[in-house]
Amino acid sequence: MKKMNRRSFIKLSTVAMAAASGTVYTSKAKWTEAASKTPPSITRSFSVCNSCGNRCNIIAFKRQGRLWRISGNPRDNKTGGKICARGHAYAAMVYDRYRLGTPLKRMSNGFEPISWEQAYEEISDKLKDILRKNGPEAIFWSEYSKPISNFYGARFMAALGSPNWTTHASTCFAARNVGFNHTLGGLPTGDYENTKYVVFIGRAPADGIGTSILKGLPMAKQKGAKVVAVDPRLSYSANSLANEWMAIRPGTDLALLLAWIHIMIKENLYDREFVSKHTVGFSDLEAAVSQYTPAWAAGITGLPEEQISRVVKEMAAAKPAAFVEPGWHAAYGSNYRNSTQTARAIAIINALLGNLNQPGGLCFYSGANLGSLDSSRHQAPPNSPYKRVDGAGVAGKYPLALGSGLHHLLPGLAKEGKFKAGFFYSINPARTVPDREYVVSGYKNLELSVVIDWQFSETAEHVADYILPESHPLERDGIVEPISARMPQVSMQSKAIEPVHPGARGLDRIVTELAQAMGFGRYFDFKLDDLNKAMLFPLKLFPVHLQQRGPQVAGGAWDYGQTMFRTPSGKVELASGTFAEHGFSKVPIWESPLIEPSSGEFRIIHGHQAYLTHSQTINNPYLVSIAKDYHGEAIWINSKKARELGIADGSDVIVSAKGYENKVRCKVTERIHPEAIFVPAGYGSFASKLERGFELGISMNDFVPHASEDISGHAMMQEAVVSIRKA
Amino acid sequence: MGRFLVIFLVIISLFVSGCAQEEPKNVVPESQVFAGEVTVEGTVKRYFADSPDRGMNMIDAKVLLEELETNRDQYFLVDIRSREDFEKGYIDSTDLNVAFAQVGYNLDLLPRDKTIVVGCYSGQTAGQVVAALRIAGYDAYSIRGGITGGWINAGFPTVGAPVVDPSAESSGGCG
Ligand code: SF4
Repeated sequence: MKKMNRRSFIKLSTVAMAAASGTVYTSKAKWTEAASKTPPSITRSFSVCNSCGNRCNIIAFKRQGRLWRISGNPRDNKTGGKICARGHAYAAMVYDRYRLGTPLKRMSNGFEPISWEQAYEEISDKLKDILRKNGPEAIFWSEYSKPISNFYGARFMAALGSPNWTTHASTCFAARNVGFNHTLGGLPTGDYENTKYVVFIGRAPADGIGTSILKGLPMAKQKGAKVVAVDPRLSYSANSLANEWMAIRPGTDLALLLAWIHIMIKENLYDREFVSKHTVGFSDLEAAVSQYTPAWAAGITGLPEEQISRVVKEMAAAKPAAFVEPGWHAAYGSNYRNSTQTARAIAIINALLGNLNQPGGLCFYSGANLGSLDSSRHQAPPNSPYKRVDGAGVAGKYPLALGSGLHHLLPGLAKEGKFKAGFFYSINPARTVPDREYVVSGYKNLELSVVIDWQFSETAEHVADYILPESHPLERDGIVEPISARMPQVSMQSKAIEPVHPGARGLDRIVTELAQAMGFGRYFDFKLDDLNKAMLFPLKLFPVHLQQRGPQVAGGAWDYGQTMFRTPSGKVELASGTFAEHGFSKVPIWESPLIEPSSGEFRIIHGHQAYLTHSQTINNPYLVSIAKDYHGEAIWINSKKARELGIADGSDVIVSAKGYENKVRCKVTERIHPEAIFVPAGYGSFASKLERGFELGISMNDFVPHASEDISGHAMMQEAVVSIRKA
Repeated sequence: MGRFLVIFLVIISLFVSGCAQEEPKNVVPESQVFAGEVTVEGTVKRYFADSPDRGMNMIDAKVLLEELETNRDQYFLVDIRSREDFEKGYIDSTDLNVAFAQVGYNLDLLPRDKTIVVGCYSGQTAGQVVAALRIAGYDAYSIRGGITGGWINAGFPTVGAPVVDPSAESSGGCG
């Protein structure tokens, strides 16, 4: 068969596109002409944006058979109908010439298009072979967590008998979730709208967009709420939303929080009634923090002692309508050796503020009570009898890690020969996991790697043996998804337009057909529509309600006041027995970051920009042109340090760490701590097929070594230092 | 001059938002145009005149069973029994359960590009729904003898409420 180069790929795509539409328009101009001659027929569909994890509800308008435009859906309780630039730009990708339209197979000289039948046959033959020789433990599934793959990916692994269903958590929010789970029994959401005082620890909700924050916080601010940003960098979010910036030394948030707990207890600023009724371990906590004075914290964090004391007093005065925001990836999602205990400290401060399930505090909103497939009619695969190979939840390895696993460990395990086959759904570890060399060379040891995505990625280009094209979300129905908010809702992606690439398929179909080819079809004897009906059953709703009317209210309104916590004790665990059992400190105590910059070095910190999502937007023409026009790729360096190094604003610098260096533009600013450089996420593409953003900027993952923290097992993505010099 | 500009902009914005909100018009299909006129009366006349040729707009349970097996996507199955009776046992592929009195408020849920099959207890109320739907321009049939009297009595399969499991750990993505 002919080798596929870009030209033939594009040709193929165009043919597919033409074949897809009922009426064939051979160019956009022809369509415009046709559209201008006939009266407009505009239809509307309700869908969900897939361009980031917020999953905002959208309305897609179709005109003359083509996607015309999208808007937010005002009925979405989390967004109030606002969507961002990425949402629009992602929708437009439905017509992009870089979309994948046919399965591809790696040959010695490049990728070659193959049929679905051939892909299924070859993949299932190889998988069967691996199952026979190495057993189901040697197979993993890795995904960027999405509702559709949470179901189909996990069920597929279970069908094969594999315990290794994995998400991106360990390079994202793992430490935060483990810390909160073992303190409060789960992750609450801020009641942003009604709060009087909020402290963000590193989170930049207008850069790494947090929709409910952006919806609620401006309302609170209008009513006089104060916002404090604790961050080594004055982000665009902090600049526009915060009243005060605490320019903390990177990696020392835990010291600040411990001092705050110290002050709250010593000066009797906490909610005594809440603490006595609803918490355990207060005396342990009190004893542990007695040494963490504001003066001590000032020495470690570099913050003025006055500011440390004043902010916690202001916050306590506003309780219970005050909170330290639970964050996401930000400063402690998966960044430092001390991140899990940092998350615990944040959860503890909120408990001391007595703000849990209080107006303006942190709330455990109820989600929709969804149903599931009736297992008496649709045989469910048994749980795998094996332990996770990455050690998540396994005694002696990472017993407290999340059930969604430690995906950054998979390449190393592949290198050791423990994994032979891997599936990558909508995830790009070759670019988004620290240490490119470790990841790519590790995964190259797999005998079978299958990427399922709608476009190329570093992982597809450098790792995949097979690439299976997924259809665009606007071309297909999705799975029912809950929206937890004060008024819980359910929503669903519904098909808005006929497929532009009929060769691309939805994940539900791909997994079902693959399972059938493997001889496990009995676990997939239903359609997505049947699953959706089963999920909606307890709500007395049907898919057609969501298709025709968009998001629907699911259950009664949530109310304040609940004081049951899903911890072993049923109370807030200021001291965690579970932590103690596994040999970790039962109360947070100070632990410095693993790596400290010595003179001439900088800690490398990273974060989102509002117009890029991870590594998946770098070939989006609209978004990448924003990045190029505004030099979004520039790294930030403190002005004083820049002067010392003779670096001018807008000039190129060389960033180097052990054995690797790269050149990038730099932004010289007062808005970053002198010890840090900020590297925006989403750049540094090394997939040549993503032509529009190829090699634009740098990625922190080329400078961060592979590592794992002990408690939650995350990837410690800011335990790295670099040197900078003039280019 | 300034005022004209304002008016112009208002008109433009109305036009723009008007387009955005526009929904497909409920065009009465040609088949319902009777004696060249589209009137309720004409549509009703056509309904009575054509119904005998369509088997009085009824579908046998057995035919439905076969159709659902082979042409599932062409049908939209509506069960108008009470929720309580629906949960005791319903046809697996049911697309909507809505009580008789609520049908009118849920017309937006009914597709115009599929055949709507309505089922009740004995066929009597479904027949009324079908008549109303047909006059409103839908392609609708009722299950002869109803879901209870026709389908269940014939021994065709129904399912009950699915067993509800607590949902698994949710781990959302990031912004
Ligand atoms: S925040 Fe933007 S990219 Fe993310 S789901 Fe919402 S609209 Fe899409």
